[in-house]
Amino acid sequence: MSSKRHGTTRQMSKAFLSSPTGIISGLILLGLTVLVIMGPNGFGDQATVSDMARSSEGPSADHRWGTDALGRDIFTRTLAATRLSILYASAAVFFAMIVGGLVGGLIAAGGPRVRKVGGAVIDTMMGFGDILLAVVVVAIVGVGAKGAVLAIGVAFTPHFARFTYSLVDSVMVRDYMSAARVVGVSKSGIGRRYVGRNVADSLVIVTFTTVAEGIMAMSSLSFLGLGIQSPQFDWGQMLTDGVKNFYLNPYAALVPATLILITGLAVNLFGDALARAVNPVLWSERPSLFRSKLRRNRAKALAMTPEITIDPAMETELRKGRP
Amino acid sequence: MLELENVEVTYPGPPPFTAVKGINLSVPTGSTVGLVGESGSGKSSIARAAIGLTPVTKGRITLDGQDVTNPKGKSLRYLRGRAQLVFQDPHASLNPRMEIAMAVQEAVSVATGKRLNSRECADAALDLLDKVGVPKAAMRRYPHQLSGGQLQRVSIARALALEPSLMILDEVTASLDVSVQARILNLLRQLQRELDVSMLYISHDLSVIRYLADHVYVMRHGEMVEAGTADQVFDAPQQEYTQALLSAVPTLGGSRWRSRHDLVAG
Repeated sequence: MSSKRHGTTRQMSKAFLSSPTGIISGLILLGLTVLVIMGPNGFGDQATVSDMARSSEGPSADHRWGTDALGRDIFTRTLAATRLSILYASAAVFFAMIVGGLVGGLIAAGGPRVRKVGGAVIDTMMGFGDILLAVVVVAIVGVGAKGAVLAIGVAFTPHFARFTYSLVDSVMVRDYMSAARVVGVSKSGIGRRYVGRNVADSLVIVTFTTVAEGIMAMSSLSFLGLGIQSPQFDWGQMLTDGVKNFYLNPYAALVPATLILITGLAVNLFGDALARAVNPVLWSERPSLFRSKLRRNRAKALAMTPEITIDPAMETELRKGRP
Repeated sequence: MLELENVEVTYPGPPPFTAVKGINLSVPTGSTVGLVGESGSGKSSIARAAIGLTPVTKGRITLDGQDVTNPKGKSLRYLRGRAQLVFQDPHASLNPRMEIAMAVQEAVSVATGKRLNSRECADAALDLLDKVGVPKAAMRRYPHQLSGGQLQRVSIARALALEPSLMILDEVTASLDVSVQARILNLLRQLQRELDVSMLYISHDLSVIRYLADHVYVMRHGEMVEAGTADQVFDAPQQEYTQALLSAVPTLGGSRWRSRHDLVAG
């Protein structure tokens, strides 16, 4: 059992590494991880200490992408903002995935009444809209980083609940679920090996995709002044500030926007590659035995096909016949 | 061993649909009973009701005298320990994310409880797969990598893992091509001889039923039209519907070829 597990894990990592998107996005995420570990303090004063004499400058020798309204180096500050931007967004999405996944899964596994009521509650929550829901949560919890993370987490929860609900629902009616019940597989076994394995890849993709959305949602809250508060800063806050001075130094908005874009792309591609790796239907090759047999048969069939030759005389005959 | 008395299956609506309208059926110990009927005649509903997957709205199902109508708890464990169902579509009835050896191993460990460790369960699973003729090389593969015939063998091995005394086979060869069909049917016959299991074989294919069954039931629109030994039903059908069904079987040579007018409308 254990040796087999290892075999599967090895096959999965092989499948993951065989895709260029997996490697590229993995490298980008590795770089971002380094930035997350370094954090705001890893970049010294340039990122945090203001220099009003050099406010909103364009690119120059010592500030490659210029400075922001308070004279801080844009590029360094953007890198320094990586930690909070990614950590808070990931924390919010992780919260939403766990809570939403559990709620959605439990509703799907419940009786008809649970499903009806649960489905209605999820739909109602989704009807409010993410930002409105988030604002309500911030109003209750209070402005600041903690409030923002919880707010985005709560706002995304119904999406995960709805998604998990439909996923589990579609798996529950499959023949292999009936077959597992007939065989007498335990409830926990059905949950882990049947439901879990068959919904895992879709959930992985959606979780990673949502991290990108989480970064955007955190910036929206920052834009409303409900997110991260000064002196803390994240990409969303920088973007908001940068847009205000866009004509003085556009890079103040473009650099954090680019980082948001790169991170979004990387997590999306990484999610895709990971989902491919956990789904054996996509990576395991079909038996080569059959393939070679097929090839042999095709070669044989081709060899047996009589060559079609057209007698030139007949061809002219046919031509003549036409008007 | 399996007795269905006046069983009715109604699917809740709206509008409610009665798929099985009070039928009687019995599978004597050690025999193979064939259940024939066209699509939508209620054959699969009977299979699912007998195994406790679909609720019975009226009537009684017993297995070796024990009541297993709408089984719960103890009667469910009793039923599942003795009866197994093999589904029509092997691609759909095996977990796509599970190696086939694991699928059988899982069934073995359910059957043996905690008596065997996972190593022993795995060995037992490989033995079973070997017995039904799944090649060694295929055992570590996922369902989508195998052919329909091989997968149906896996499903059969999985059912056998629970050492059932009754196997219900619901159109198990319907999705296979003819030569593979024949091999699966031979396997079933061989298993029945070796293991002495009773079988309820459900099919729309008369030639398959004729090949396997001792007793035959003919269903139409949820009702039992005719019942009898295989010879009676095939050689001297009493009901017009059965006669029409038999005449619809295409045979080579022409004598049994009938025009479409002989078929019952609908």
